[in-house]
Amino acid sequence: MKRRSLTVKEMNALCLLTLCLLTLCALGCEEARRSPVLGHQEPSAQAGEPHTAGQTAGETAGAMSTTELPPATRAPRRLTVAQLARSIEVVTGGLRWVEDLGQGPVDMLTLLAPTLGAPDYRSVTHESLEPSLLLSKFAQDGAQRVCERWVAQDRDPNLSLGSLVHSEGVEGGWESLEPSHVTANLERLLLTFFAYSPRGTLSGDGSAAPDPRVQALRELFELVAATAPSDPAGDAWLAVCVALMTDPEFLMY
Amino acid sequence: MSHYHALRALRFALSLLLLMSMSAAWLVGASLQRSAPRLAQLSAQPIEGPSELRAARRLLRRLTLDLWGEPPSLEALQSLERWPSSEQQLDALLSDERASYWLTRFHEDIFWPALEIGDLINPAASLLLPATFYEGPLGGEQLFTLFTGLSRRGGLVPCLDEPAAWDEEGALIMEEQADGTRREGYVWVTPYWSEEPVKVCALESLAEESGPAGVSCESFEGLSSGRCGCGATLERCASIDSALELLSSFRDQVARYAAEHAAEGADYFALLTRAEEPVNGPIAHYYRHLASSAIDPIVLVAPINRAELPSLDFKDRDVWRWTSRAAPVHSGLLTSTPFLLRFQTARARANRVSQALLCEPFIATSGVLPSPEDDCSQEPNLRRRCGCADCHARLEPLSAHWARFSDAGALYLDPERFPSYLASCAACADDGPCPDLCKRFYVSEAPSEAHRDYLGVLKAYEWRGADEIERLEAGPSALIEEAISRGALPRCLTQQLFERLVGRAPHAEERERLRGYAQEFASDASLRALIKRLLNDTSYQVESPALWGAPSTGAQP
Repeated sequence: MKRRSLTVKEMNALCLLTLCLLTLCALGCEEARRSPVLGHQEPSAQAGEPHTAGQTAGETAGAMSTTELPPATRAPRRLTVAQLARSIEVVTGGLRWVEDLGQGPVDMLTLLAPTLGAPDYRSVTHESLEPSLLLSKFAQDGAQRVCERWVAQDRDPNLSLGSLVHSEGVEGGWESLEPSHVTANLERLLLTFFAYSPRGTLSGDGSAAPDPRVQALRELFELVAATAPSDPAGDAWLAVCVALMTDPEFLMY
Repeated sequence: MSHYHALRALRFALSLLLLMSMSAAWLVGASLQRSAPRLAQLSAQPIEGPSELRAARRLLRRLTLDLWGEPPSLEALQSLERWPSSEQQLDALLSDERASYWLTRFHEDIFWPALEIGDLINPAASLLLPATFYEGPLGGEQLFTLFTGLSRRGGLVPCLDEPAAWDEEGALIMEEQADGTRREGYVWVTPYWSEEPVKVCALESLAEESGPAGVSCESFEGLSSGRCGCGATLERCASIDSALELLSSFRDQVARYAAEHAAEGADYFALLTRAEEPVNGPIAHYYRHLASSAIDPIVLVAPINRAELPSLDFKDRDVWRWTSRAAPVHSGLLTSTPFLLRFQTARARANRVSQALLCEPFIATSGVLPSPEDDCSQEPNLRRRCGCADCHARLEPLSAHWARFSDAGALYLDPERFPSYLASCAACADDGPCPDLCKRFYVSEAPSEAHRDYLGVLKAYEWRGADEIERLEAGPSALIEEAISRGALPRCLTQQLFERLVGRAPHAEERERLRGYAQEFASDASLRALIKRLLNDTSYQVESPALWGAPSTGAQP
């Protein structure tokens, strides 16, 4: 059968049809975006209580439903202060952010909990889990202190839980900068911190391409190790630890 | 082909491309919607392949962070073989003791259990302070109470940091001081909160039965007279540490209520209706020895009769006994001491329940209140006063359920002791002066003619019609029963839990699913079953594309 080329009229008709379809589709999407909202307008919660900031999630449902509809997936959320404290403990194998402010050791996340918005159910009744500069600043401080202790403890054979660097049977031990040793530890740390399975040995998918997350951490490790004045492995693992502990993927879920 | 035709063809191709990409987006969306049953199937199966393993590990992280408040261990991630949202795996996660994290937080966010020392005891009469509190670092550790200092030593002062002495007739020696006060020494006492003896001012160590004019030494009047003392083991008073222990116990009481009623097979709604309350050592001590002197906020009579209190020592911090409360209208957590003292008026209690348990907040229809000079602003009944009626027409009937529990306190207004009408309180309005009982609990002033009809009436009954009095006599459990039967309570809790887990308000189609879950919740009354349904819902299972850039599910790895 001989193929006939489209006439101008036919092309115009097709274009018109396509545009109509696009318009209908766009209207449909817009309607789908709007209708649940318009169909269920709940009042926002404001009642006689003075603690209006303390509305529970259900109470704010009305306010949320008037905004643009998010996708039908679980919304990512920041860790609460309590979750952050426990997360640091779990990933490091038991370390907490502790400082001695002159009167003995103090658990800093407990001390800072009110500042960081943990509820006391009197003046603060709702823990805001929005991203916060304050939390970011203290997470940075905490990560630096915890990671310093972690590196020091992990490389000490008498104290080490082997939670930061696995170095059994590796030539050079903990101090090794050998790429395959570094990569294996980075993959394990990504799994520990983010439950992220890199495409590689741990996931077992045999992917040839290097995992971008592992690659990025490898570059960081190598850069720090190459420029460290006296302690390449210690400085490099410290940098990796701080990077992981301050990564939004660690602070959110 | 002419230039014109080429341009037309390009436009057509672009339009087609756009249409195809939108269709692809629609298809991805549709496949996400269809993934609910697929996920349910997957959840019962072993994990297969790296993609599923990746998704399952991310899901496990969400689950343990939500339920336990911490991420999974490396070992748990490495040994993951089955979908963590399968029935068996979820049961294991929920049965772990770390699951108290979500349960406690969920209920604390609803009931706001936060008390201060002054909510439970009168700090001036019953709180033992170290002398350093008054005299600085050189003051010593001897414990004293402010009112005993005021009434016996001539100022809010402690005793001397030297052993107490008695004269030949056995009278405590009080020495005149340069500052005009008279002070005694200290004695050693082993207090109820510790095995170690503590230094206590001799006057505070007294253990008299009655004070001046025969007033009971367990009352505020007795304690503040300075003639009674704190008792042989200081049981009528609290140290700062024991008071903090008490606050912590009342906060934990909320968690105990929740744990008991969220367990497998438990009736969750009984949390809000049952007559018993969990009591540990510190709470039993409080009800036995300290509540009777708490007058402002007023506790005065413990909710549990002394004879019924479990024989627990103050140090039995972790031993809990479910114990019957005396008043028939007690309704689970809603009439517990921490709830009543956190929300100190019937209206505040009703408001909190309406917002947090029924998702029915109070919203005024108009943003502008009428002038106070308007006639309608003079209406004394808030259910009818313009500007107020919007909320109070609904709030007052709801608040009636708590009206037998005193405002500014947790005292149950027992009808035998607090009848709905006292003629003496009506009479004193005209003849004066009215005793404190009338002024605090009965209508004994009539600022308008309308109020005169209520003189002598218990304030809890003022302006209430037959319907509200029926609610008042039934207590909060009647409100809960009604909210369960109309579906408001199960619906609200389902939505609250959904929003907690998913992090946003539900969409229209999700609301449909939630309605189904709420109906099942109303029927089986199992919070555990409800959270399992929600954790298996697509909206929880599908990870946000904002994390790692793409949806992560077993269906869409």
